[in-house]
Amino acid sequence: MSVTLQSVTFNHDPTSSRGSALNIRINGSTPAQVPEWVNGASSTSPAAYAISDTLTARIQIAVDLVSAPNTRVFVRAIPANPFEFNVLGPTETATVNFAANGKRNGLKLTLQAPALAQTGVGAFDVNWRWQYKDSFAAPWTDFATTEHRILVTLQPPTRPWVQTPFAASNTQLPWAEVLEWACQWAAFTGTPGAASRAITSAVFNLGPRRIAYDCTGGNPTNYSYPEFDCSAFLERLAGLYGRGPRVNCTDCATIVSTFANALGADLWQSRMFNQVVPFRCNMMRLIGAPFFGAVCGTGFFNYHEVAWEGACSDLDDVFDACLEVFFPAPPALGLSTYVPQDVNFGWAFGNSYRDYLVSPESRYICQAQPTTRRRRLVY
Amino acid sequence: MLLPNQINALRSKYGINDRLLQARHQSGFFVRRYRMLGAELARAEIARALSLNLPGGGRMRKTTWLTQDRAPRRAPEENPVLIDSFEYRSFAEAEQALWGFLGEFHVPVQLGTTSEGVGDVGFVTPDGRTVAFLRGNSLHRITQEVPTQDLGEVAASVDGKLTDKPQTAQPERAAFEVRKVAARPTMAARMAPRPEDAPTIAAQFALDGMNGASARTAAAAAPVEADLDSADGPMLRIFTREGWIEDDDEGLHFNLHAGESPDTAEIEIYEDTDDGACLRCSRKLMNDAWVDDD
Repeated sequence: MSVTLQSVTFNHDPTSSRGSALNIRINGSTPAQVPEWVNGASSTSPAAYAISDTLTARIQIAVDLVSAPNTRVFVRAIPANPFEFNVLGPTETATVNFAANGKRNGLKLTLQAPALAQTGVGAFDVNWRWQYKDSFAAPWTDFATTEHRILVTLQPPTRPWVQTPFAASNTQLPWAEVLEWACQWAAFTGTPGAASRAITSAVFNLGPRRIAYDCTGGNPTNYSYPEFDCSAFLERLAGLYGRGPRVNCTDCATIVSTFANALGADLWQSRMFNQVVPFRCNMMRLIGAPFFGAVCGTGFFNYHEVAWEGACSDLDDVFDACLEVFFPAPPALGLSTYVPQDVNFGWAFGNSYRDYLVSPESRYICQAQPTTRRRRLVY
Repeated sequence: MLLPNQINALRSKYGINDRLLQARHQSGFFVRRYRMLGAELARAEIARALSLNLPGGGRMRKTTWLTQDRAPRRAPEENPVLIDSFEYRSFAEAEQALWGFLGEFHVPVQLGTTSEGVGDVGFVTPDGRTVAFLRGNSLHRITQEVPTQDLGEVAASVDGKLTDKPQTAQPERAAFEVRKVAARPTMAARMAPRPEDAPTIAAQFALDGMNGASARTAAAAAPVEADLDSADGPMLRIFTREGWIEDDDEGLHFNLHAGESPDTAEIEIYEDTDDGACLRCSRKLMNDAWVDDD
């Protein structure tokens, strides 16, 4: 007797991510394949899980099997290499009764001890060895090995990412290519705040090799006007041209919030400015710049945009991957530097983000503009 | 993104006279489904093109042009010309978009204006790397990281092709029919491991007279855009918010999302003619019958 594994489906319940994988797609032009693994197929699709949705529900996968008609076997999957970390771990043993046509489709296997919550955010390779036996006392027989890519997020994604409808035409389903980068940047973080901080630092550190602020020509928004050309940015990350190296604060805010929200954070892109005049900034190091200095020689911003939490007001925290500032804020002597992340926008002279960014004489005129908050669509 | 007083400040700063702009608008130039053909830039070719419909109306088409006189470079050091074209439903929306774009300059800059005749109004950055101009209901942004050519001339060329293009007042109808068919499992349903996992549809329609065409869903935000390539006919383009197009062994089908009403569902179908003009054929489903929207 033999058993053949036909397919493995992680996202077996598109209506819910409790116990099932998230609805995702590969990128803007390619939908994901479900089942994610198909016997003989040249490619497999990754699967993504949200930790929050798997804490109170047991994760199941669905498999299609073929064997001799009207037979019964026990089936399980175990890590292919016991010395390698396997985030999904083994499955429980399931009893399979094959129908008269020798097929058993949609068999649910429960994961015995997945380690999603313990590891936090990450992208993992999972290699399984599939085994069966035809009686309880018989030894296990290997019948297949499979390789999978598992992406672990903290919570279901927030806008611009959506989970419904699960259709090939829905380009706002989370992109696996975005999740790969986000998981890499925020690896092993356990909270949305920590993941957002890690992503902010990672985006800032993309300069100057991948992206950089460019002062000439006023530096208009490049990747995110009017919506986010995420495909081009992914090209840029992959070493291709994309839309070139130029980014400004709007681009950085969009990148941070979009990638963090794919992991379940809840950030917006929102602006601060004065409706009448530009505001003067402290000395800072813009993304990709080699040293600190006055912004573009003049020290002024027309506006500034950051990834912002909550209502994007003075009370809410910001994440700014566009620049590095002195800490503490002038006029105190800045003894250290940091990329602002998870810091309150605050009031003038309140020792908060506004003080780090804006020079003392402009702190009262630079105002949070919550009405500008938005989440750009990805394409 | 700009507030009204900021727009007024920009108008004043750059001497944009409302009346002049309005007079130019009255020339009536209005573009629909404009698509670059590849002849807009001399010694250049389109390397990448992408279309999507903007939320709240409007449409964006981005093209990446590689100039043939470029020195051999590795991909990251390519220096393409990027042309982003935006179409809006009205002149007023396009003008708002222009102000919006000018509001995207992060640091203060004094912009120059493009040569007389390039667009209704246009701007160029001091470094010559970005040109934006407004023409009728369309806004165009042209950028090049290292300007190896005068982007003002590129803008003039693009504008020239744009205004040379014959604009049809009367939309023409694509030669196909839409009929309701008995719903059968969609491809998504066939891929689903269990029947209950499949996305449900409210109704299914066949697009007749499109033999040989194949549907390819393009990257788009919303609504859905599908390009239909046909070996023996013009390229058709379909936009719909309420469903999706599937290409299977029995032809092209339109699946209406569950919860959507046939009374309000709408698809827009465009035919790309030889000269590049996209002629509109918009249809709305009402009481299970497709009727012309125009």
